[in-house]
Amino acid sequence: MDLKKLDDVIDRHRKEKGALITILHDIQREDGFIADEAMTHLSDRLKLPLSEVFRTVSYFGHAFTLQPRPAAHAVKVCNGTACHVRRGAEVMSELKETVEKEGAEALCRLEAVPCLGCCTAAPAVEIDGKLLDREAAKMTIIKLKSEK
Amino acid sequence: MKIESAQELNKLKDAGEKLLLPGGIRIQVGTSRCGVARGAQEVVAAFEKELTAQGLEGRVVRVGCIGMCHEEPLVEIVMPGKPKLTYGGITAELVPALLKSLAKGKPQKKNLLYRTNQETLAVNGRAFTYAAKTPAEIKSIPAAEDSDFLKPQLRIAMRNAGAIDPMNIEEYAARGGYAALLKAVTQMKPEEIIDTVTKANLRGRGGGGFPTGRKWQACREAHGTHKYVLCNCSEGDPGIGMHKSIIESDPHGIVEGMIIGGYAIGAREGYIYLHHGNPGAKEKLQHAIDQAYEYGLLGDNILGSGFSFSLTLKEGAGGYVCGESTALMATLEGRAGEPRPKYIHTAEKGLWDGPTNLNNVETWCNIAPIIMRGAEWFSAIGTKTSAGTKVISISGNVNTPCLVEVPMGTPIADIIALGGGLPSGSTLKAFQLGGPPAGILPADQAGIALGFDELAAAGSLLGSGGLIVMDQSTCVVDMAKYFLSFLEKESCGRCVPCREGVKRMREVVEGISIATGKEEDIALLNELAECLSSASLCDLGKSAPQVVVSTLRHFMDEYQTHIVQQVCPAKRCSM
Repeated sequence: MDLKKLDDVIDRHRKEKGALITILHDIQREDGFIADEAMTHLSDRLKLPLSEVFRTVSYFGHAFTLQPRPAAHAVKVCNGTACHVRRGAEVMSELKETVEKEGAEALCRLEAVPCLGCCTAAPAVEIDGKLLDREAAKMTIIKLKSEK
Repeated sequence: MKIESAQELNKLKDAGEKLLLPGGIRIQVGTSRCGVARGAQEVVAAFEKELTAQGLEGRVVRVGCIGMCHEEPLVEIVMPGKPKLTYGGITAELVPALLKSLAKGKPQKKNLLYRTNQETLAVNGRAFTYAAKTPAEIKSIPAAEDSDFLKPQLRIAMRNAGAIDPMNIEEYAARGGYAALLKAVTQMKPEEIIDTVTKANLRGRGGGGFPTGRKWQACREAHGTHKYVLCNCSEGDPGIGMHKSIIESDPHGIVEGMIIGGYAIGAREGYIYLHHGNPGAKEKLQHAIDQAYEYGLLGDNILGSGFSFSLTLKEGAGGYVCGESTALMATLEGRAGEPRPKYIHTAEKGLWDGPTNLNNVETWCNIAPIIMRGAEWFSAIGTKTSAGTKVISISGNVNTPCLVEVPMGTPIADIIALGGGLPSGSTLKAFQLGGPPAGILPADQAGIALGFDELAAAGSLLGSGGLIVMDQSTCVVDMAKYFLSFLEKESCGRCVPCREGVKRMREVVEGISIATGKEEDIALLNELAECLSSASLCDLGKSAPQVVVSTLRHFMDEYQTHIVQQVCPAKRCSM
């Protein structure tokens, strides 16, 4: 995001008190990460110490990243309590196996997330925002690879 | 259109009634998380296509969560003068035949779960009638109010969930919405409202169970002109999604409750903290806020009363600890969500140092019905010390995970039964109600009645109400390790007892789980637990050892088996 565009984002949230996190969400959504230049500019414009901006970005590691996230497809395995009780850890290792077998490491980013909020489907998996069970998740990974 | 009088609110209500009870077919498809996962969007598309293809007059409405996650995609059919029909497991392929049967006036019995002739609206106690009589052809279908799933329930916070289009303020009004706000700001003094909430004996649904009326009173009396009311929708607990579900089903219920709270406390500004990563909930809540502004229910001079109130939705950026009040406020201020010591209570100095009142989603949803029906009505529900109902999400080793709302005082075992009980061959070993701070209780405690004090007496917590059922295939050492790993990751790192203590406890428990445990580990765990609960800065650290303390108390044998015989009876630990 160039600085002019960033200024537009800042102006859009001018009325909001304590808008730093809201603005960071916008940058992350647009760019996929928070660049150094963006943090410096935010510090100037919002009159916040650069250390404070950096602290906020780095504190919320789930939401903001300092570098672009590598793979295109997010494979989220639910690690909530219900999914853990219903052996979510096994699903994680099975999907890891599938990804390795298919050679889809560069294509899929496997991550364990706190709770997908769909305990009926436990153990639940979400690929690119779509909720799946373990078999469907494996099929999707294979399909993603073959389409590539 | 700005609403400024009871007549104008009535007009909104009438418009909504025409939508809820239309001349043609109204098809309600549950499109919350579980529904969409099972193909609800395709079902909506199929109905829309078939309505045109069969030349029928009708409308497909995306509603929220009815609660029976296992029967998704759920479809409810409203036709003029007919009982409402609830169908479960309707996939897109089943749509054409279902619509044909409805058009012929002979609704198919397949997938038909039950019928509803009449409902009592929880917000005002009035009847909402679909049909006075039951047509002969569906007489054999059980009535909803007699079903095993709905009979034990009383839905107050979830009163509109699954019944209305969450994006439509008219439908909310048609089911008695915003009448409580009108009553509050035009007929009641702020003190009277606080008095009603206090007498109703409503206690905070977020976990602590602090009396809501007293909390409001403290904030009202606090010095400072700029006060705030906040809604906590952090829901960072690993394993519950009920607040998301309430927001996605009935966002206006929260908005109405908060405006009433703002009026009672003397606040002019409100903020909703929404956990990061809920695009659906965010969209619906923002839409509800925008609509409320449009109709003059938010902004200046609400309903012509002279009271002004603004409401802003803010998305957090993750973090379990951000559900803690001071960390939540730091996040709302745009800073890193770290808790601070509470020498000065947030009712005195909270958000931007102003007196602040924080309640969670479920608490706010209870306000409008209390205002409409009075303190006596509410306090008569539930038990003496825990009035009202509680929303419970049931998951883990049960047949049919679901979302229910039951009166306080319902035994835990009955709630497990609402989740379809345990699968055959499974026996109840333990359960958890209320997230990591609640610890784990053994099966023989399942007779406990749902309530703040009842659970506290058992050394647990009602918490936010996520019930996790565990059968004999779970291992308590593994569960302790699981929760400690979660809390270790989520510790903000500000205070040493939590940052270091949780990590050490996790290492010790992990040692036990991989057969390197020693006899003296038990004493070490107890010592660490003592240190954490007395010296941590906030409740995350203070309650972190609870899962170890409770399992040591109830399942010491299992720890001993791991340590002495180096065997995991449930075969969960890699030994």
